[in-house]
Amino acid sequence: MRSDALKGHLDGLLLAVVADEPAHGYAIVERLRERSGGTFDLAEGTVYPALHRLEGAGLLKSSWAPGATRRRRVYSLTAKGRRTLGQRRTEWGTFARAIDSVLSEAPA
Amino acid sequence: VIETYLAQLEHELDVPRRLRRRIVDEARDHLCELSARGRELGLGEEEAERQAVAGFGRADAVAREFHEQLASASAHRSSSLTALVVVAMLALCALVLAVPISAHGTWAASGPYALIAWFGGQVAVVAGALAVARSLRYRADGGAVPSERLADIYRPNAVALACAGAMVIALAIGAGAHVRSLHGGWALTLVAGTAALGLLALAAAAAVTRSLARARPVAVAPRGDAVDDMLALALLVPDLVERRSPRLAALLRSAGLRTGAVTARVRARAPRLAGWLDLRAHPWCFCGLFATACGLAVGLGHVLTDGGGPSLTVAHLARSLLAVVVLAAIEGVGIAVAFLVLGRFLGIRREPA
Repeated sequence: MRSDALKGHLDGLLLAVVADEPAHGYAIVERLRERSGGTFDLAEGTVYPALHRLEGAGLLKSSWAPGATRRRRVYSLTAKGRRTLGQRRTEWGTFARAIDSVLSEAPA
Repeated sequence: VIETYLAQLEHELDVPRRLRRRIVDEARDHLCELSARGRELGLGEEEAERQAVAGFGRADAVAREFHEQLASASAHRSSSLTALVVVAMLALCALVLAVPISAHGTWAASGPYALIAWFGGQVAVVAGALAVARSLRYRADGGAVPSERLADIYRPNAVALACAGAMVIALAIGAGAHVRSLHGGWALTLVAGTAALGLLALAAAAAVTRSLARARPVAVAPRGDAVDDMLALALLVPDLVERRSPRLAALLRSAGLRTGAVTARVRARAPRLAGWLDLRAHPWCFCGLFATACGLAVGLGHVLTDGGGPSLTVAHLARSLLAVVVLAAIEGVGIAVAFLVLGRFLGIRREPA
């Protein structure tokens, strides 16, 4: 799926991916790809600006952590990020149900 | 291949050095992981690096994405800062105008300095309010300001800061004209300090302008006008009120329904009048209404603060009425000139189709 089609949902997806466990950029992209069954295959460099913005908005926090060969920046969810993720999930549930009920075929 | 790409990315990034280092280090980590994965899949080293770089995205596109995201966050920050600066400058002006500074009394400026201070202050308030209103619109919509809309926030910020600075400097220069009769050294220090604050505001305006240039906004899409801003704000209000006071929200809803019914009736019975009241289609009507309201407010404000009451006579009333008309006319002309000069630049007036 193209990056621009995801743009309105990218924040929620990134928060959801980081919610389970703190992760560095590469792992976040990998999780996104795996959990979407390969559907969300982004231009990987575009994920970092979004991560920086979410950090600036106080939804994520990050710090350098030592890796096997080099240090890496690890992102984790803040309390505000967790609340925002909860809101996004609720909003998405309502939206998806509404779309589904309109698009699904009416019983004959 | 990776290092060449990173050098290009570093060159494209127009951000503070520390942030640039962080971005490049994160990109290096990611690209090394990607190329290691490629080698595990049997690719040669150079091919693995080439594919990693291709998957990461073009350096200029990644840099542009960073500029947009950072500019968006910075637009919200600068709007809050501008609001604070404008309020502080107005408070400072009110304070210094009340201080008896010289043998002539307070340091109220006269002539062109008074005019600059008066209209500069008003433009600062209107531009600052525009910047805050637009920032609120985008915050309610998730926070990200699209690249083609950045100028809608940055420009009012720069104008508000520049006008607040000009207002304070004009007051300081006006006071400086009486410098020989100033009460002691503290008055001189106050004048110099005020002028320095004005210069700081001007420097902040220049910094905001530089930030907009650094964000490299993409080609401008058709821009809106002040009516769009007011409608967007009006849509934000019910949500806020609903959360704070459901009873007031119900009252507002019923008032909204009544207004809608009245509007529909006017449209049906007097289409020409309804067309004239369409402020979007007639920006100068919008300007006229705004100028008239401000002019009357200024004129009446002057009369109310200039005495009256017990010594009220017909002659006094006539003088007051004349003062209202003259002040309202000056204010109205000032607003019309500002609308003409700054309307399109600030996105108050729509571009002609």
